[in-house]
Amino acid sequence: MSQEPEDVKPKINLKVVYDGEEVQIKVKPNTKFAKIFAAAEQRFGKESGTFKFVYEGKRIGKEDTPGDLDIEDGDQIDCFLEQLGGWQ
Amino acid sequence: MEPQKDPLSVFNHVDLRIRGSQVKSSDFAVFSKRCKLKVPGTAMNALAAVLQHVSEEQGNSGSAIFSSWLGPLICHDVPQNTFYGTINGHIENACNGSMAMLSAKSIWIFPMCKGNPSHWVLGWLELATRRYHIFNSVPELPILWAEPALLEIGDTVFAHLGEMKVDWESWKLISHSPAPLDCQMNGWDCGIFVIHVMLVLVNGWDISEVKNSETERIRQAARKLVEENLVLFKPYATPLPQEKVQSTAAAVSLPVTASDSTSDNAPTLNIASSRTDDVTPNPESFDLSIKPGNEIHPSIVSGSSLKRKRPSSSTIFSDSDSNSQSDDDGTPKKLAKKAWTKRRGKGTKVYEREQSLLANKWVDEVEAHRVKCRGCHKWIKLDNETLEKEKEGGWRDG
Repeated sequence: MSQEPEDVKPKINLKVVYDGEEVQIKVKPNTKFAKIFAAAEQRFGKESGTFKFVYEGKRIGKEDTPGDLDIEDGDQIDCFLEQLGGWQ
Repeated sequence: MEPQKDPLSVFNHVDLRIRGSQVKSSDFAVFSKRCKLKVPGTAMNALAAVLQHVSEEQGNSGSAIFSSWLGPLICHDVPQNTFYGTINGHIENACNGSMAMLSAKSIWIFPMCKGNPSHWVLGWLELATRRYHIFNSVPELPILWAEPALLEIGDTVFAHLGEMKVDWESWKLISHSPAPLDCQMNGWDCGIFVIHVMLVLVNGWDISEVKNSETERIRQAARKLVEENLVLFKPYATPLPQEKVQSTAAAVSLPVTASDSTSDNAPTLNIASSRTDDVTPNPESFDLSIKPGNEIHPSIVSGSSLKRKRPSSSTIFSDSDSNSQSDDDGTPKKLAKKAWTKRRGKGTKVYEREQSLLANKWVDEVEAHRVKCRGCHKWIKLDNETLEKEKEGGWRDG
């Protein structure tokens, strides 16, 4: 009988805040932020690329992970608007 | 054979900034070949900064390119803070802090992004001939917002130079668009058109060269311009807590301590305070220097976007946290919070509280449940965290 591998990296909850509105996103510490950005933008009903995400005053890159930035369970990510012009 | 490393990937590893704006390599993805992404403001402003710097290096210092955030800040669409910057900071960035230099420029260039859906257009003021221009890559798209927005930005910049009233009636508007077959044919390239016009203006080329067929070349030229001028993007020294600084002083090569806010990219503002919160270097390089008689909004100073990480175990930040509560001169937001945090005395009447709020220099208007900030012109709720008190009948009756 195969044994289930133990989950050594528990998921953490991120609080993503934009304009006073907050969404909770549960992620693994090694999840790339590109995926988290997409989820947050979808939850806020915004087009991809609408936001820039900031943790403790520093912008988060798409390739970063919560683990890279020492983000802990319950920490807050702030969203700031990006200008995105394209006409359509 | 090992694949060639993308030179712009450096932005993923180091916190590099230009004119105070934090840049990531993904911002420049729009300059990749045959890219169908829309140009983000960060890429537009970074490129504008590089373009102006390079042209000045080449002895062509006739134009100043301003941040595209200037318009939204002036219209209060976004707040002045460490992330969007400040109006003063953006104006001074466009002239390296020298107002005399700004007066000497012959063209002021303003990339603008607005509308629904958002659309990049370029406005510029030709000071000598008193003409203002607006370029729109999609002629059939009405951009009624552009002219008032441009003039409002112009008013603000002129006011910064001491000219409080501009007689726009004596100025002439010139609208530009590519020829019907040369205009923007897709839903994402307006930013590339705007960049092309900026290149034309800075280099003194002919604006008729701005065509849809040129977008791919401009995309590559923009990328090359950034790649060749990576040195203009300055690293930001991450502040360290005092304890860490002391313990790792020998290992840190950059001479930055928690109390040193005068690094290359740190703001020039330095307010004397014993609060450790205040000595956290501001992550932006916007010049927040206080002019005589011109007070700065506390939220700009404190950096509203900055969140201190919760102490993981011990009480490293507990002292500073308790100190922060003893700050007497706060924004209305702090004031509101403090008003409830500090339990209202038995004898305090509603009108007394109203008077105390009105006495605060940052309070513009007071209503029963909210106050308007004189600095950022936003309404701030007084009773977010006091629903229970509401039930007891508090300010509601005021």
